Amino acid sequence: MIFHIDANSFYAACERLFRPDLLHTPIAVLSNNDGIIVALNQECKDLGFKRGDVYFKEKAKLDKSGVVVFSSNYTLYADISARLNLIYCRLCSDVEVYSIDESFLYFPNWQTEDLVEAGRVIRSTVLQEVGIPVSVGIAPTKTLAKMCNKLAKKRGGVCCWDELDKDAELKNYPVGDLWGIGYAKTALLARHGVMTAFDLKNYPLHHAKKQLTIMGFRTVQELNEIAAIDRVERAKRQNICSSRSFADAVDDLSELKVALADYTQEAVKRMREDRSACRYVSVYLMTNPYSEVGEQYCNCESAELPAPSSYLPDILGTAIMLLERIYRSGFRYRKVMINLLGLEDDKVLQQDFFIDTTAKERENAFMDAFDSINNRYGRGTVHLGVRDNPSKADNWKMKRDYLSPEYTTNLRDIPVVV
Amino acid sequence: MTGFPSPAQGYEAKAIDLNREIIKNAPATFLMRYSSSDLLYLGIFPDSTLVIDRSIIPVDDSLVVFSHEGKFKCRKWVQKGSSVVLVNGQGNEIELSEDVQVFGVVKTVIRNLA
Repeated sequence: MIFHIDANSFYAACERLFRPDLLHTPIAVLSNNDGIIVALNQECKDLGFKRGDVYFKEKAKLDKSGVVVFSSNYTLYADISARLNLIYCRLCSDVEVYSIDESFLYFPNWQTEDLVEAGRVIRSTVLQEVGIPVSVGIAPTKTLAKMCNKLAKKRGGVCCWDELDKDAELKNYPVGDLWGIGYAKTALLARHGVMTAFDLKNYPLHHAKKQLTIMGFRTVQELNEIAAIDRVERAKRQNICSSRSFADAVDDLSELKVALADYTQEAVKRMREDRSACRYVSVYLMTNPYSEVGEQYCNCESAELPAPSSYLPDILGTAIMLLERIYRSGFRYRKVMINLLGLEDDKVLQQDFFIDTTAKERENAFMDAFDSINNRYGRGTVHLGVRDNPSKADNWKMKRDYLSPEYTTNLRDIPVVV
Repeated sequence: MTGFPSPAQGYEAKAIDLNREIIKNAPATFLMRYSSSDLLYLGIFPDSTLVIDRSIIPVDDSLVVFSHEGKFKCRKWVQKGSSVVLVNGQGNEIELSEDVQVFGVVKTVIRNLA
């Protein structure tokens, strides 16, 4: 049996955990750069706000309704998420972490007799030990477990497929609410008269495969209680991209270089964690495409490295060169982005006859030391020389005006008891 | 294996790991700073760090952190007949009710002297 566990309004629940003054207060959490609302609690939904609302448009209304707004505090959310998963791992030997607030637990069929009771134990343990409410959907397939979880939210937090009047539930469930059936597929299915999960369950498999691709085909199988969707094997990424929008526009080349160096360092770190090396480097530079004031500019330039590399100085040197090529003075830039492409396994690098392998080993040892210093003492402890302008560094950092403290990960930020 | 075995083999002592001694249930453990001097009579000084384990069920005489009137407070859990009161030795008892949400039981108090 598959248990799907979802933390309810997770970001808002994390924020509330350490703010006893916000017990019944509506809470909204904003995306990076305080752009849109990404999470809200029930009290905030009841006021009519939704995910995706643009913050600056709704700001006046939010203030007037007494909604407390937070910037995303991923340090806090990641710590709380890890606590949830530690508890799941204690209760179940086979846990698949699906996202920051969702996990699948696989229980062998002999292990649990009373599934609903097992679901309640998970729920009450997490609430007691971490203080975060979760809901539990229990079914033989992942698609049905996710559907049961949605039903659970309105039915006491636990919902088990085998206890339901199955066809009646499927007939009441809009097909677009199913896992993996997005907006485009919903519209396509509607044209074929498929409106509910029940319609899709009985949809001929050969049609499903033709019209919905293999993923839709699997959804139909899963609705028929045939487990078809494997756990997300963390397939190696095809490319690694690192970028952020600047809080304030930047027009100075040296400032852009400093930002690009930071994002490049981040991208190379992720690539090295995957044990990959890249062959191509692309750099993008853009002004705000939605601004109507003044002339806009955006450009991208790519380069091929002489050999696949995961060596930061090589990649950063190339990236800086590309940036200099596409930079035009006089524009107010909003975003610089680096994309590493043509990734391949770092261990089986094709040897270039002209490249000295002992130099490669030295480079690798250097990068290992570089990464472990930054892992141990924090990101940016050591960095390459272009980052020479610390006084201006704040300008291109993320905008996070409503950031809560690092309650659980920084001793200076722990909550105070009076 | 090469060479001679160490004569200390089998007697190696592991270094004392305070995390291991103090944190029994990591996902349920939270730290908070105690700022009041109300609990001096229990030997808890202001600016101490409270190690709170949410998985411990409070019993008579437990020290608990709870939220009340929008603030985190720390008091002793005292069984009084069939009800529970939260006391800090200052006289103003708080009765356990809907207005009180228990955050967790204080397992250890850390106080730095030097």
